[in-house]
Amino acid sequence: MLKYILKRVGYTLLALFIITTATFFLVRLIPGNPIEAMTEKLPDSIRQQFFEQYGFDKPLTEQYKLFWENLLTKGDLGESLKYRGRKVTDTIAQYAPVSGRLGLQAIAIGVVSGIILGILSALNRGKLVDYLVMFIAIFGISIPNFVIASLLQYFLSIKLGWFPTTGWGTFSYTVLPSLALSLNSTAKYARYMRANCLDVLNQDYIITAKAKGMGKTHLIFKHVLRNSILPIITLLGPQIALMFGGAFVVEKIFSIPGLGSYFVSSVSDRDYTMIMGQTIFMAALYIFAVLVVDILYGFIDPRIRLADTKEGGN
Amino acid sequence: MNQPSYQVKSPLDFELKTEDFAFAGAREKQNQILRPSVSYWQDAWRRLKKNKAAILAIIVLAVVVIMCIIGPSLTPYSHEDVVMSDKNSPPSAVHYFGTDKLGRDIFTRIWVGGRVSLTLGIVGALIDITVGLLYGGISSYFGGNIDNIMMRIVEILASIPYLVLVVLVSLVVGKGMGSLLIAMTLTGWCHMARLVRGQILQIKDQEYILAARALGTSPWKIIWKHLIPNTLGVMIVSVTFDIPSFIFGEAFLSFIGLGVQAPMTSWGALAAGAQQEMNFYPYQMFFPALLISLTMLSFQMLGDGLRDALDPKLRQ
Repeated sequence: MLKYILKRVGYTLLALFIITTATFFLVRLIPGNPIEAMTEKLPDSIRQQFFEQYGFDKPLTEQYKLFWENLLTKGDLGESLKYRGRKVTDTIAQYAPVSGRLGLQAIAIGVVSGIILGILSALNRGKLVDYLVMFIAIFGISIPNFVIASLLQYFLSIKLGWFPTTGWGTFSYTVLPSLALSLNSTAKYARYMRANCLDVLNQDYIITAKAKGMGKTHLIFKHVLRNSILPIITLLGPQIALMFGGAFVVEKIFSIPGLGSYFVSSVSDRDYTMIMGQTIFMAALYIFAVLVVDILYGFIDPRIRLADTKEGGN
Repeated sequence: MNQPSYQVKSPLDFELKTEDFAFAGAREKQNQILRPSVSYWQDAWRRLKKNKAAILAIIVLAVVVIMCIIGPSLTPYSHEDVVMSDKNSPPSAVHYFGTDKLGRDIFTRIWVGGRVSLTLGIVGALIDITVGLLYGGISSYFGGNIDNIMMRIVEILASIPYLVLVVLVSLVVGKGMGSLLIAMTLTGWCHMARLVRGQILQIKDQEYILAARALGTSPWKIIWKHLIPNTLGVMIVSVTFDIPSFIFGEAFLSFIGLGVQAPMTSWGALAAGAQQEMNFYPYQMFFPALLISLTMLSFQMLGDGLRDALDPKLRQ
């Protein structure tokens, strides 16, 4: 187990290093040199000062070294190009909690409703309930979340006035965006849960339990649920990544002051230091989330761990 | 084997008579089950035909593709024509889907945009599968350390959050269709490579490959006759599922202002433009959203149908 964890942590760190380096150089590769363009009209002395402040006067390798030094010793990702004096890390600290809350709510809705729908559909295989759930699931996967977000906003808040249209504050502000974000994961979990459940229902131990005369409720909760819920955990990693993508769009539509909408603004402002900092932050968060999910899964289901070490040992 | 004869023979009767070796007469041939042998693809098509949802999806997709080809020429307008006196007009006989805030005909723009979205989806998926096939094929063919290293590279590439990378790369390579393709396929092929490798490794160990090898079949023929046909089904299914992810990716990029640039348009760009006017002119959102959803839904259903039709494991 320790070997497995160490191996996974090693890959994670390598991946983080690669994406940070790639981000650093990609941002500097952006054509038209945004920093030049931004300082074009400034007098030479101020321009020089600007360059020095952001470290652009040094050669690229020097900049790269400095970047790691600042990041590792001070946890500093630099300063915004658009808003002078605003630190990237401060901005992340300010906006991330909002996105985090939204994402967690959406994942919670997605997991709970997806699992319930999936079980219902598997237990009623081939019946109306099954078709209904699968119909919802395929719709949830096919409809882009900005369409869902726009529809929810138009009907539930503008037409019916049940929820505030845009902004952030009390719980009622979070309902529509969480729903819009969660529909896709609800659909994914429902499909996955249904497949797992059907798989478990065909296992020998279920037949044995039935043959021994176990009651239906007991059978479902003790055997089917427990065994089919496990693989759900593996979906959590990719779902967290999806939340980021969805958050860009959904936060923008509902004007929520989260990291997603701030990232979109940074992109349209061409605020490169900000883009770089946020990219690194989101990538790190995602990679760590996947790592935690993988290790958790290794603890819960020993089959995965064994398969992995066997493969690695070859 | 069914042994129909006018003279029913006891199954325990092992004595062979001369008449047992006589040519089969017309009467006996009538009882034989005469069914032409069915190839894999014929069989798959037969299964697919039974799936009503998949057939419906094919019809919807065909209609969408045809409309994208002929749609723009059905109206007297071009997708770039700006008529400020006729802006934001609702759907009518003059403008089937209405006009946008610059007085451009939405019907025309939908089909012109559809060309962009569909081309991106199909070309992108083809690039993914080509790179994936090559990479996964090489990795599984050589095996050992090369396989190990190649798969670790894929693992690391795949761990980068997709949409964040796409945004970053499209900032570097600029806007337009080619750049969108580069940005979206840069790590998009990773899952294809894994899939191909998994498939080939699985098939490589099957008994019939061993048998073919023992009979002295050349490696090239094994690849061509056994490996490729047996992985093709899975590949086709994954391409079908890959196309909507490109259409969605394009819509997402358009939404944050990194998509196709005006006056050219795409479904994503149309939806993004309409979203800002959603509160006042919801019909502008309706048509691009409908087309995107309908196309993604059709590809999903077609993919599900194809998977059921092509998966050899489900064949009985």
